[in-house]
Amino acid sequence: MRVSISLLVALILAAAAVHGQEHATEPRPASAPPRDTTAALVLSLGGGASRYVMPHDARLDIDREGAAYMFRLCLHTSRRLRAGVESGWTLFYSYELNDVETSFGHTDAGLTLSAIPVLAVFSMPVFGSLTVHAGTGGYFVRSHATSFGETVDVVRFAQGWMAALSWDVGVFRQTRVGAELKWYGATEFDDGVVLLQLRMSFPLLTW
Amino acid sequence: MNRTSHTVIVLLLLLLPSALRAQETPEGMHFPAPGPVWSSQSAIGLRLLTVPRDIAEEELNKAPSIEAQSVLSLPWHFSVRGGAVLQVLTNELRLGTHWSWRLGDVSMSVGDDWAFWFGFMNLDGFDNRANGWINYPGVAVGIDLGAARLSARGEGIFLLSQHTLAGESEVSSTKRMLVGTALTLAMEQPISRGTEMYLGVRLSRTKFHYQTWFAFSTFDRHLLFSELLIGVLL
Amino acid sequence: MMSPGAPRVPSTRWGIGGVRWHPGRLLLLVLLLQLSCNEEVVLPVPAIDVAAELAGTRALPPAVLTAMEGVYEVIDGQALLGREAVVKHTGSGLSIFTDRDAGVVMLECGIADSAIIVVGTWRKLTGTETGVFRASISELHGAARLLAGGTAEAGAVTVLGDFGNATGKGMRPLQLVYRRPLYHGPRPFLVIAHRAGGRNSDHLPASENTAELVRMAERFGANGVEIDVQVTRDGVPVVYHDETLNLRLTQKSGLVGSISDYTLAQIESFVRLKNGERIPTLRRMLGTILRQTTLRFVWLDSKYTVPVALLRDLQRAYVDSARHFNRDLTIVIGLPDAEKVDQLLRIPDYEDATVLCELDVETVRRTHAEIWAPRWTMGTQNALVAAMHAEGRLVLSWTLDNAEYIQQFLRDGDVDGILSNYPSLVAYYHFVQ
Repeated sequence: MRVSISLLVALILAAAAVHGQEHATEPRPASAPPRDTTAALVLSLGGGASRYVMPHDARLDIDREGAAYMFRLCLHTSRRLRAGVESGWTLFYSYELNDVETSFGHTDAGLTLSAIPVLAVFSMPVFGSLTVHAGTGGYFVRSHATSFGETVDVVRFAQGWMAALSWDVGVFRQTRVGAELKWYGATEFDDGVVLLQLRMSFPLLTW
Repeated sequence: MNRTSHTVIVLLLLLLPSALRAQETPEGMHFPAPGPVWSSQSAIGLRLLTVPRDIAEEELNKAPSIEAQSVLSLPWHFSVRGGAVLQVLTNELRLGTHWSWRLGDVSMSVGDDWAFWFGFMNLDGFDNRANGWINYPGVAVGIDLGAARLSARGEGIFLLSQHTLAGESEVSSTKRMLVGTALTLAMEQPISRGTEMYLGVRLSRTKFHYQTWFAFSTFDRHLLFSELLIGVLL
Repeated sequence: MMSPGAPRVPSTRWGIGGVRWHPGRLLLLVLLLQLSCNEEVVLPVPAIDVAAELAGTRALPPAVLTAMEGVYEVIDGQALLGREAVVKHTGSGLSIFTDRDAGVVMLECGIADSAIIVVGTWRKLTGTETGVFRASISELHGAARLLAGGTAEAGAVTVLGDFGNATGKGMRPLQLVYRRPLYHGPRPFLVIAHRAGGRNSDHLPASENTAELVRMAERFGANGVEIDVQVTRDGVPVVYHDETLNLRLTQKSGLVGSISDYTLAQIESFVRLKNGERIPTLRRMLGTILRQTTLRFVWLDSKYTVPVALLRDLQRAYVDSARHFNRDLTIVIGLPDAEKVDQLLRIPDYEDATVLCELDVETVRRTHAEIWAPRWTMGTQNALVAAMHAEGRLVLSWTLDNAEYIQQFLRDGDVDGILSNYPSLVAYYHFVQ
């Protein structure tokens, strides 16, 4: 039996909101918008490695490692809790099959499963430059399959969630660089990856 | 009187104690501590049930319900707790007595709830009604962390009776049977001055969950039902 | 810390024993708890080698298997079989049906030293319990009479043996005594196995909607099957229930989307069903039913994108084949919705097609359907059933698994058959009437 993790993401989001309320009057975190502005639209770009972490059938020798990139647009205000959207691309897994027997004869076959996340993300600094992120939404999951020399691409949306922890430091004016450890979970399809990415963020717009 | 009116009246009755309550109130809805005598507390919220894949198959497996509950503190650390989970297709009214005590930050209670569940299904291809009684004996433990209270309540689920109708055909059964257990984990904490919310998860490992009565499930094995609970104290 | 009964005072800090608490920590704990509650059901395989146990025995003539059919009183073994059990000749052996948890015993038989030996396995279809079953009818307890071509008579045939759990341990005694013949009723009754035998969630030895399961359907008590037909991107009808390729029905393959997104070659290259089978083509299923079973009714449930005209062509071809093989086989096209009704009505000679309609009786008349199949949840609907019978149509109820309602439909209703995930239960209540 499986239980939808997305329910718990909602719990985490709500808890984060509560926690954000608690800390609303605390000193400003390092990544808050400059004091002469009240809000900033911050763009984060990241890229790195992914590893598929969900169980898979033993009959398929899947390649779990791949690449991933992301972009996140987040509204920073004087509140500790931030909200935004995140997308990007990640590989889930790929595999090759040799000499598969079918009623049409034998063939070599290969499949690549990747995803484009579309997530509403809530972020909150918790300790210094350490920030937690939690998101809900889903993934456009794409099957790229080849057999008998013919390739087919099919995309379907799967509900899902994400959770991440990022750390960054200021390097130039308001530009910050750092790293992010993240879990993408397309729970509806029982797919999930852990990502380790280098990230850079800077305010796109301030007011 | 239509079902919407029924729902409104049940909600009003459940929330009445909060309007009449004393200045001091019990400590939350889920926290098992004794409250000031004759004080009361009410809450309203939402429940979201996730139905196991064995029952839902490829159909929609999330079932939201409105939840309202009240507690009235009685002398000698007793309390009466009542609640309703309403959704038209599946509904449950619940009433029980609990006895609680407190040791420092930790509180505990034992109690027994009786619930009447009922539902209607008059969609295309369905002409069904159902009702029955469930008994939930349980124990709870809570810890007061200052600004938040954490509670865990374990319950047995005894299906006492079940009555279903399909068109003119009907089946009734009355037998006291332990069909499963449930664990509710809840966190209650203020979100602003005077307003407190609860967040929780209820995990039922059971052969029967009243909210899936219209599936007429025949599985003789325990399935896991997960419910997200969220609401505000009034 | 607050004292008992103190009013609530909102605060912005949590703490106990010097440890700071954070909502995220609690919720992560809950998350872990939920994940740890996931469980996979493992269906044990009974520790018995039926072929080895029957080695050295002679085959039992089918006529003797048929002569053994009847309602037996259970003297010992009521924990498994209840107070009465139905013994039925199915496939190459015998099945025993019981009302205990939709139980079924599947047995192979042989003759050794003038005794009839029966060996096999039992399963409770509502759960995952299974085990071994060994019994015999000695020469003095009725074997001599049966092997001489006689029929069973009340009290004249006694089955003695034992049954145990899946490991073959904890054996308990069995004693069954023949009491009366099976009920056959005034007209044939259809016991139809849902999805070729049952749902995946009942953890059957084969995946739902497969040739492997259809071969077991008779052992489960069915004389008909319902199968779900969809069409691939290259127009091949295949047997598959759900709208998507999902983890309920298939092993994880990475193919997302529906059957109609892929060619059959692509599906066969990548997809395996839950128990490792390939998604069967409709032709393969019908061929299996025709040549490897004695089933006499097939309900083709037309799903999603499958054109009714395509089903009509295959129906005609396989009915002709059945006639060629001298098989009593009815193949009906199921119409579950208005779209499929419209597709049927656009076929020029649609009146000649044998059709089952799940919609209202007016649509049944409009489509010239031979069979009306209302959902059982509408009740027995005796007045409408009588009207359909008066027009020469059959009525089937679907999908009825509840034991009490099955009894009510058989006792108070007048349907011509029941579609069920538990055909053994329907067979039991039908034959003990």
